[in-house]
Amino acid sequence: MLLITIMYYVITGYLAVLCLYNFLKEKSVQNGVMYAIIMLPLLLRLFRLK
Amino acid sequence: MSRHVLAKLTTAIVMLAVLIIGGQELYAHRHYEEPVVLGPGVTRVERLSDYFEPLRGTMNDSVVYVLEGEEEGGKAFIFGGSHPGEVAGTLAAIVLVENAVVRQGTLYIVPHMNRSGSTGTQPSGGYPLYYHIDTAFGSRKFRMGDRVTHPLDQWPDPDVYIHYPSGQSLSYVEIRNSNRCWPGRPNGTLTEQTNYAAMELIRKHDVNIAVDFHEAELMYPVTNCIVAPSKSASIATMAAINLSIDFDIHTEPSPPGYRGLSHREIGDHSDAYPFLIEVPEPFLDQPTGPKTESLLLEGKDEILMRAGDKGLLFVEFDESGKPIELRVGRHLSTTMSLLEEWNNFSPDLQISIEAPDYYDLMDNGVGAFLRDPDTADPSMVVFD
Repeated sequence: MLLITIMYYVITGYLAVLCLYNFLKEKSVQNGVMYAIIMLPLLLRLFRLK
Repeated sequence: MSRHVLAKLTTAIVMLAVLIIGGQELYAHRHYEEPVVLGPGVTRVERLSDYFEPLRGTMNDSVVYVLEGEEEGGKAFIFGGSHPGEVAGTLAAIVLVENAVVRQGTLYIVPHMNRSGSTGTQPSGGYPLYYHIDTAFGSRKFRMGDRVTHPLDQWPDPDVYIHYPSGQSLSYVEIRNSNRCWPGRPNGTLTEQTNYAAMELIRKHDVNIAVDFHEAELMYPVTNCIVAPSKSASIATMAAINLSIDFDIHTEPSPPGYRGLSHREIGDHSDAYPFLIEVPEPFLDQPTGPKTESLLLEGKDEILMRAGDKGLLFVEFDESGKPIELRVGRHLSTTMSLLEEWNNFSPDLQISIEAPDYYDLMDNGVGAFLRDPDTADPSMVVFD
């Protein structure tokens, strides 16, 4: 795997963690759902599913 | 438990369920192994990595089926699946593998030129993951694919793709488009390396003809045609004239200024005469109904019909649609017409094959020319 690809996976992981943090901190249900939806493609990429 | 904690927990459980259930389907699709039954004409099975070792073990180490005739003659490299969503290309190649008999010359057939692209579907496209061809023994299942290499195999894309060796600037995503990465290079991306392996096959075996199977939107002008560079133009023109009594077909010139395409670069970087065949695939058009397996295989769509009524299509389109047997049949007949004209052009390098043609496919369907992998001798079944 190329170095830049590894870096992109690291960035993706960081963004997923940020989304998870905001999801847990968020009081609004609607915004919480939004963070969960945003996390989905990031997780699909991290788990090498899509 | 407070209300918002309960809502978050529910959201998390739903999203996990979506991730697990959906993820399992995506994983299964990516790792589904398509069986291909070796037909009577196959004499050898190779891999692209036999021509470029670094491809070995990668997703694009595609199978190469070799069909050698009793008599020596010319050589043809026939490939589908450069754009895996253009399924008639892959199916036509598989029909050749499972049925063609070569009397003179040699065929090298690759059904999945961009195998990686066949392991995923277009993001947000709503594509079916598989399609099924009905046969006398049940249905055979095939992977549906995307247009480009899967991002799990090649990521990230640059902002601008600079084509090697021309230096032409192309859109970022074209770096994963097999038909923009010819002739490839050994130290390039996976897509470029795959095309480089194919070029090594062409050069090593002194291939005379390269035929690239594609499909195109009905709203796109380059369809129902053979695209050929100037060196191949006379062969393409005569083939199209001969075929015109069977179906609507014309020739399109390969533009010298548009780089990376097989019909340009294969001819420029080898002695082979390249041809790219386009047949119409309604599934690819943007204004259609839902992207279903039925649309993919039957090629019928009411929205496209209305577009046709308004003169927005480049091919005739009616209630009969553009079924898969028509598209696969066109590929097969066009290929055989090209080989016939090649034989007239180069009598010392004859390529003579027996294979199903357009009328065989229209009368019997694609399934009539697919073999049963479950009852075949296991040594005659290759999993791609």
